[in-house]
Amino acid sequence: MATSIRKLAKLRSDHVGEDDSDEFDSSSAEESEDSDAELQKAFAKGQLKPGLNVVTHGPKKCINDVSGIKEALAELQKDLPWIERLDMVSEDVRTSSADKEEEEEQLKKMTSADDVHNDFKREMKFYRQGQAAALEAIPRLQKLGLPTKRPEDYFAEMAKTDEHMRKVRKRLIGKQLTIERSEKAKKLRELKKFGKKIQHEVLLKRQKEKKELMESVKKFRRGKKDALDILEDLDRKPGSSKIGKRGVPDEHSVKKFGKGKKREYRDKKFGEGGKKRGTKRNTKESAYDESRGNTSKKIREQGSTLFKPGKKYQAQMKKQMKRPGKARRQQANSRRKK
Amino acid sequence: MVKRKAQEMLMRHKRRRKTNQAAHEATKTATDKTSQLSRTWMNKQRVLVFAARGVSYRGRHLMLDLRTLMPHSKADVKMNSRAGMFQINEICDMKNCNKCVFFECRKKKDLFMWFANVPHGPSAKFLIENLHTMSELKLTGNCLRGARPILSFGKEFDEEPHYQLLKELFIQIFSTPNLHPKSQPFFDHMYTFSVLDNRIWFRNYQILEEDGSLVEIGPRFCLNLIRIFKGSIGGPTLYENPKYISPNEQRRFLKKQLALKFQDRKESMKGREERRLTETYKMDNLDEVFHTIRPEDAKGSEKLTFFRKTATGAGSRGKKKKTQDGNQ
Repeated sequence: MATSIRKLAKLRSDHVGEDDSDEFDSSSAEESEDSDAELQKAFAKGQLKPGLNVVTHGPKKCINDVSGIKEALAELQKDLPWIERLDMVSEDVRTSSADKEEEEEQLKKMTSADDVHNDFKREMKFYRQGQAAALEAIPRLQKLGLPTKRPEDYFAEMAKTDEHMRKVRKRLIGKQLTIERSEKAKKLRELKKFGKKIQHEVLLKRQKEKKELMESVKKFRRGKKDALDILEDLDRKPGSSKIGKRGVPDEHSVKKFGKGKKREYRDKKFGEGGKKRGTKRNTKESAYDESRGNTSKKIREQGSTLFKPGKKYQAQMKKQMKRPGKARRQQANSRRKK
Repeated sequence: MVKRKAQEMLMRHKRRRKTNQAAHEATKTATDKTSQLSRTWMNKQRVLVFAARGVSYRGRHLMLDLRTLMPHSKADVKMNSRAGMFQINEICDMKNCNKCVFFECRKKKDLFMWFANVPHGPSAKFLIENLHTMSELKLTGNCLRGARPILSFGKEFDEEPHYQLLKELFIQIFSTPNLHPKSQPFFDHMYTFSVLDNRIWFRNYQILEEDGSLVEIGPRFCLNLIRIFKGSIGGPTLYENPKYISPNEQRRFLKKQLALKFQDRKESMKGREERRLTETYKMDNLDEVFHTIRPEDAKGSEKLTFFRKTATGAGSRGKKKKTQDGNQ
């Protein structure tokens, strides 16, 4: 099958190349006859199917000459003491066993692909590896009697120039400053917001107190109230000075003592809560519901417009929808232009 | 060319000196091996770090960084790669170098890096990705120029044979020989090589304190292995990375995906158009039979005709008119 297809490809290429010499042509013609017969045979067997036949390449084979690599390695290696090479092989360092367990759990959760694209995690891995190597290598160097740390008074040329390091420092300081500034601004903004809220609340509270006082004074004047009541009201915290209806226990007492037995029984007998009247009446929705049968002509014609809120309510809604600030409006404008 | 000739002259001088030195060293190493620690510079590694013409500024900066970090490196002018890659071996020989780091740039954006052991090989070719040079301000560390680095390898480097080979090659290229005249006696930085995502990630850290706190110095880059050759810069292939996709292919793939996105959108639009109902509302056709002229539009004798209500909205008004008409 594969050979026949390859021949097909060859055949096509032969047809394309017309400038070839005669000899080549004749040979190719013979070949093509040959392949034609083969193709016919293949077709008869049903191996060939109509459509474009394209030669397919197998999966790319990659060379991995292990013995060659080992040979090259043996050739390359030199018998040098460690001090010449300073190489370490290390896994990342972990501080404690608890840490280790945690990490393992994390490893289970995260796939390695995630690790690669997460900058922080990836760099942390390299950092840890470096740390482990440093912790191992430095004592080893010290054991060999070599100085590892540069003394303070040892001056020499550095890899990065002083000017460059100045730039780095400047950038670091600048970054810190911007962070501080933004944090300060954030704090101020929050304080401002909060302060405003408190101010508003205090104002409302004062107004309320004043109102209540005036009312109670009025009532007292009319003789509806005892003088004592006002004083009590004044003593009590403002806001709790509700005068309940007679005979109806207020929430406070219900919470404290619970409902009476008589009340409970009556609630049970007569039912409590929920709307009782008008449940069988039509509403807008039920009138429009066609599944229930005939609907009125008006509803059929006007349909959904009936469900819009009334004009009065619409006006109210409009009032509630505030006009956005200038910056917002400009932003919206510019977006529209784009 | 004049420069090259001058170099050759110099080399001849050096060779003469070198033969003397080698003999001297041979006697010395024999004595040193007993005391483990040599007192002289005996590991004569010289690495030629240079680039082909057409290397971009990033590649050039990386090359310069490597030169500053490696006191045992040598520089050369940019090579004209048209003359053939085998020229590199000759240049190395002329420069008296036995290792080579060579940068090559394609299309002004894809940077390739060769590591080679000259003249007998092996050599490896890498594609460089995620390159950050030492001059970036993000990397805040600093170290002595010429201090010897500690080389840290991930565990993966001991597992597979090709990684073992690369490890040995990296050690010989990057580690500064002990007591190299240009090196410093302290150890204040380290290179880490770690394998992640089938690539080798290179980092250079400063050792701040000896309790293991590090700060990155740079450069940082990611090496994507392409091939390992048996010879130096060429020769039979020892290893070929099966997961390597050339940047050209990658770009082509991305472009193709974009094209596919467009095609998809067009097809879905077509499909939606086909699926859309032509009738949006079911209407009885008979309703329109009696739909004639609206009373307001009637002129002259048309006003005498019998009007039916229209299907849309204006029904009530039509009715009124009809009654009026009837009265007339």
